[in-house]
Amino acid sequence: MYKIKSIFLTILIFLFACEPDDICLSEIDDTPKLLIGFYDKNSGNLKEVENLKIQGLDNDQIYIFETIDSIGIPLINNKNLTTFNLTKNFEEDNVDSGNNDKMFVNYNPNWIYISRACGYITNYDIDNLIIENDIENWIIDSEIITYSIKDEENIHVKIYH
Amino acid sequence: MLKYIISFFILINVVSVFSQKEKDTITTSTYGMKIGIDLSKQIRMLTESDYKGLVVVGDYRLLDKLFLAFEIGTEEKLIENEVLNFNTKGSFLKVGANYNVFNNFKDLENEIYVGFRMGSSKFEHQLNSFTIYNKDQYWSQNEINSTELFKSLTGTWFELIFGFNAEVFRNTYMGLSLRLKRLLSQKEPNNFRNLYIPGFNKVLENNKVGVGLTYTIQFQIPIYKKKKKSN
Repeated sequence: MYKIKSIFLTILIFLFACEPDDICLSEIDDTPKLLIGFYDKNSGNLKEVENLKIQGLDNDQIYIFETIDSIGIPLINNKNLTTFNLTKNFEEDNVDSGNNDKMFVNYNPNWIYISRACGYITNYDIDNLIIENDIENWIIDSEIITYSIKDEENIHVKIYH
Repeated sequence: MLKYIISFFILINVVSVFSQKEKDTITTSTYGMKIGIDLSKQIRMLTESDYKGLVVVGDYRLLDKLFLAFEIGTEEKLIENEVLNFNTKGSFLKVGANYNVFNNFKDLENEIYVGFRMGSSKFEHQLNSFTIYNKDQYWSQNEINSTELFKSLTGTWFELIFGFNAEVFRNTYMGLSLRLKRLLSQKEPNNFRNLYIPGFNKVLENNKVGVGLTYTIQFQIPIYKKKKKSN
């Protein structure tokens, strides 16, 4: 009888044991951003953009305001278009300062199942990237290196200036 | 839960004590078929608002110690966590055997058994909404409401069982069993996983082991009597 009771208790402990796959570990890769590198048109090398402000269209928050040569920007998960304003030589205390170029990214989002705890991530298939023509574009040209956005290992888009 | 387990042990002990007072006579043992339901599903329906289940259980006494057993049922459950919301529904069949390891005194018909089942389930998932895992919250648009139906999914598994049945009234049995399960095969949906399989219960993503519990009431249909083998 005691033997039976001990078998019983063992199985009972099994029943209420905790389940490790209910936690989404931070090591797991999340949705990739669109990685943009800024290159010199003449030399083809990475070149910093002075005081670059990046802000999404219809988004009150400034995504970044820094002098940088590359950046990852997030795309909207459930739409086919994300629009960003890229402003060079922006001054913090002057809203209309700098040279603003508008960038349209057209894509198809694909939702990929990851796990019970993490849910899904999005991968993107880029259709095209358009820089709106204005009076004075600081962006000379753009080039899509990778059309399928699955990770953040390499730069996806080159912007020449 | 422990309360039920303890009360079952007490019940078996008490019944055994009574039996010892009887005179020595030649006793017979009833062979028949038991049929009943798994009450644990009905208890779950009361405690979990998003669960529905009905399971019919039964066994047939083939030999003195050996019972052929089956379970047939249907389950429906809404599963919701921080990132997923989906319904699973389906039906299942389990067949196997129980071996009674308990030596009854006189004309008692209690069972403490070990057993196994082969389980098979057919089910579907309806994904209602999910969240995109995105550490960057700039667009704060990570909740996707996109319903998708994953149909004609299947799973098979093996169960090891330890349990008991106590004859509480004549031909009426109450039983409890604990099960350790191992998934053998499954047909997985495309771009989703079988996180819950009716009959198997919750499926863990990094191993194939599952657990279960039944709490049954069964009625016996006596078919014939046989002289009891001496203990």
